[in-house]
Amino acid sequence: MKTAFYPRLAVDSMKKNRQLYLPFILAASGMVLIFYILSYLAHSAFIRVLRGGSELSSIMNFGSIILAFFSAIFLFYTHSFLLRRRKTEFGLYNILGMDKRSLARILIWETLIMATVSLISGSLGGILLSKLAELILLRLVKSAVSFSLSIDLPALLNSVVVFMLIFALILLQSLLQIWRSNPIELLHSQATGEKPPRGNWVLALAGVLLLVTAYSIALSIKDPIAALFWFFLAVILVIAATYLLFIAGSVTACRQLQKNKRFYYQKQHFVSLSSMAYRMKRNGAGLASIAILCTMVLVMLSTTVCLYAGTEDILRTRFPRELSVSAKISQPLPADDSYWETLQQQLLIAPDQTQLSAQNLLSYQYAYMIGQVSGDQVRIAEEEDPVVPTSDLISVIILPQQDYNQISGSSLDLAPGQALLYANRLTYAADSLTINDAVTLQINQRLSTADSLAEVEIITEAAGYTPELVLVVSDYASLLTRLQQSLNDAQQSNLYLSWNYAFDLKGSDSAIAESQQLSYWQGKLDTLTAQSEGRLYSLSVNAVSEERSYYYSTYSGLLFMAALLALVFILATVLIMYYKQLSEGYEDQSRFAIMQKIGMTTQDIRQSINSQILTVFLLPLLAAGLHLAFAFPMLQKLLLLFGLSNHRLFVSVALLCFVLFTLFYALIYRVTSHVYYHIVSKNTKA
Amino acid sequence: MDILEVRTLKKVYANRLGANQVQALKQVDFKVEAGEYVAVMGESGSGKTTLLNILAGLDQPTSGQVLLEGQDMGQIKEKDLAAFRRDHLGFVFQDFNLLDTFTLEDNIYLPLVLAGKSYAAMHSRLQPLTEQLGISQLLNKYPYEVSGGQKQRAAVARALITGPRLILADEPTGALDSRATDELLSLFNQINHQGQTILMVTHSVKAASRSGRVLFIKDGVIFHQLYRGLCDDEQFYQKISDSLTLLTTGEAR
Ligand SMILES: Nc1ncnc2c1ncn2[C@@H]1O[C@H](COP(=O)(O)OP(=O)(O)O)[C@@H](O)[C@H]1O
Ligand SMILES: [Mg+2]
Repeated sequence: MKTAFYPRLAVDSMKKNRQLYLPFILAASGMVLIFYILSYLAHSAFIRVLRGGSELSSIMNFGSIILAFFSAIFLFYTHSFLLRRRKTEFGLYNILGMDKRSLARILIWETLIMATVSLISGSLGGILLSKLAELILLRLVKSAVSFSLSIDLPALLNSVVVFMLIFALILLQSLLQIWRSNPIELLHSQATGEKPPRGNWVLALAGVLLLVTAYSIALSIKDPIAALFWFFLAVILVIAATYLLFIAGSVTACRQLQKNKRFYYQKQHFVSLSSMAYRMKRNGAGLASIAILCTMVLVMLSTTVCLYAGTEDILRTRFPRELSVSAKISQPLPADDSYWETLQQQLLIAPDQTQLSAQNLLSYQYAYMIGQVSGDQVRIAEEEDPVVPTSDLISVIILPQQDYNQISGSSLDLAPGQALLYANRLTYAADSLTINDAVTLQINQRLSTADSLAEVEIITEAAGYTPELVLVVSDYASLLTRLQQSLNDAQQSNLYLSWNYAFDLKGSDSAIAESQQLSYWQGKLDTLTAQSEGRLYSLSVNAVSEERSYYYSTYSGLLFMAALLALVFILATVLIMYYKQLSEGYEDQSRFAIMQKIGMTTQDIRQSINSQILTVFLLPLLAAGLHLAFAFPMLQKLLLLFGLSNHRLFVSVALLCFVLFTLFYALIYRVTSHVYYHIVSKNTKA
Repeated sequence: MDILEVRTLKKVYANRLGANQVQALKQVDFKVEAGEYVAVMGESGSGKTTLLNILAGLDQPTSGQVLLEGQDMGQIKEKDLAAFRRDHLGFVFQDFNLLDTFTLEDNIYLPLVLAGKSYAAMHSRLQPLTEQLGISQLLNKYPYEVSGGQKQRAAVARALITGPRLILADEPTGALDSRATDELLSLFNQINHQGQTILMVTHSVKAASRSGRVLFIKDGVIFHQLYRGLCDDEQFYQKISDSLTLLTTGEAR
């Protein structure tokens, strides 16, 4: 009997305060649910095996970490609000002879109940919905799906531990609060004469200043990655400015307007303005939080939706041609280009034996050798097989001027014996370069960046560590002949030629469909390699179709995570708004009853309520819209880094997100403001 | 001339199911003339607040009429009632009913602002009023910063500033200490001497003894009334006490 006393008291008081507790528990459950889903997806075997699956997993992991931190802060904050409203009740218990130890026991039980309910309902929901989430994600990735419901124990354990910790933190805070206060204080904590809000010019101005600074940083950032520090500074400044402006700026503005007697003492301004000052003082922080959450939702959704929708564009920018074939051939080198031409023709025979045609052909060749440099002399290395080059080995790449001009769109015009040099990962100061004592080139020009060589696969993909000398020459053919003649037997294998084609395919639809498959090309390459009797040293193909799945899995992972986080943020917005309406309702209840007695018509009261509510509704949304607008150029540059240059797409996606979000936000607002009206009209006939 | 006339007023409170009916007012008839200072006395639960709320138009009677300056309050449309109340009546409540978001000054202005008066007009009315009430120094303070007596004086100023035909006061001294009570009652006498009609509801003999006429209400009917006549405050106090004793013994009988 005695043992059941505290749990029963806890249950009773939670029931009595269900208006406060139910939304809190629902929100906590929602967060557990989404956390479970994220960690489930991070573990999911189906996702691991996808191309780009490990990236997907780490995106989900990252999302779950963000969510854990956010949940901790958010639940902690809302629970402190809950606690504040309950203090009077605790004060009463205390005065009626319940000591703090007993109060603590009630609190412990309450937290235990909340934690248990949230964890159980959240994980159950998570387990049920995780499969759905997986299906959606796999669909987004455009991959086949399987149906089987499973419980992921590590994910479950993860969720339980994380949220237990959060609830422990919440309990600790409640206990501390009860411990530190005295009963009279508890009893009156809600009713203590509230000081009238005073405008704080310093803080308000600081807010404006910070906002202007943040916006101008955002507008002036050219390269968001290089200026990562400034990027984050801008974000932090915007957050700080939002809080300052909502808390101090709004009150100052109200106060300033009140000083204008003509304006203030008008029926439609008088009540609204003075209530607004109080409202903003109490709810400024909540509204600022809403504004920031809204901004985050908008930014996350618009960028990730845009990336996902723009995947094709991105692929097109990254891989201008559908297919790129690279053939590498070692000794004996073909005498002329006809060898390559036959190879290309054979490549383009479609599965149905029709001839495909290559469109937008981009072709270039280069000679590649491995050697040792000393002074202005390069000797081709003598290993049998060029394995991973050791430290004193360098690569020398020779490009024909004609191909270089085509690739880079430049019009280089070198005389025979002259060369353009790009030295990568080494410094080469000499004015001339002699290879194998057979070829001597005068360094006529030097490149400091590889920008104009970007198309040359071996340079861009050389994420390795070999120093490279890239030479562009005009008399490529004769130079190659001389080089070849100078080779001894041991050097033969360290010089080879590479021929590269990148092209789009043209032909019958079925032929193209089939030839999009990398496996088709693999088979073809194997045949060609076998026919070449060992001359073809390597033949490889890159198909955009293959890259496509990789890109889709990354971007759909981002989109998915953003959508889940947006859901959580929206959940948080709803809860903040709900509690705000609840507390305002109670505060305004008596106020409007008085006004009615003094002779305010119900119509006046309605009007005043509506105008205040509308302002409070619009402010965070406006702030979010403004933030988004100023972040826009910066976000655009970020997207450009991902390869998305379709600005129209981004503009329309962002606008669409904003419109949809506004509708959704209005819906939330309508529903929660019912709570407000309901409370306010209890005492009034409004 | 009668400012207020109440005819066979009846008020029945029914709970939502209509099962439990409470007859707060059975049959109330009385008149108040211009310049009068009338006190309505009765025990707690006798229907005083109900009566006042009906007079103020805040509540509708079950039957009967309230005529204010000859106009039937029941005939005034719901949407005009608030304005009518604001322009013709002034209220003083037991719990002051000042808005905590306004300074005392703004609280006093409230009815005028609602009536759409200009700031200059309001300000010129405020000056003499607050001087008389002794709160000129407190105008910039907020309700939570001043004492109960001062709050009530601000509430009186708010009631008076519209120049109402009738002041309705519901236990205005109920939440005040004895010194503040005395001050407020003197204030009421003062404004009554200036011609202001006052109807005050109270259960305090002391408060009633300062008025010109006392109506006794019990179980929803006015069963007795006393005129001051030529009595001074103390004699009138005695008369009221005697009536109340009679009332109790009458009940015992
Ligand atoms: N809104 C109401 N609903 C039901 N009964 C009420 C209501 N208001 C007052 N009463 C009842 O009417 C009677 C008179 O109340 P009231 O006018 O407040 O008395 P007084 O102000 O003289 O103390 C009481 O019995 C009270 O319980
Ligand atoms: Mg009463």
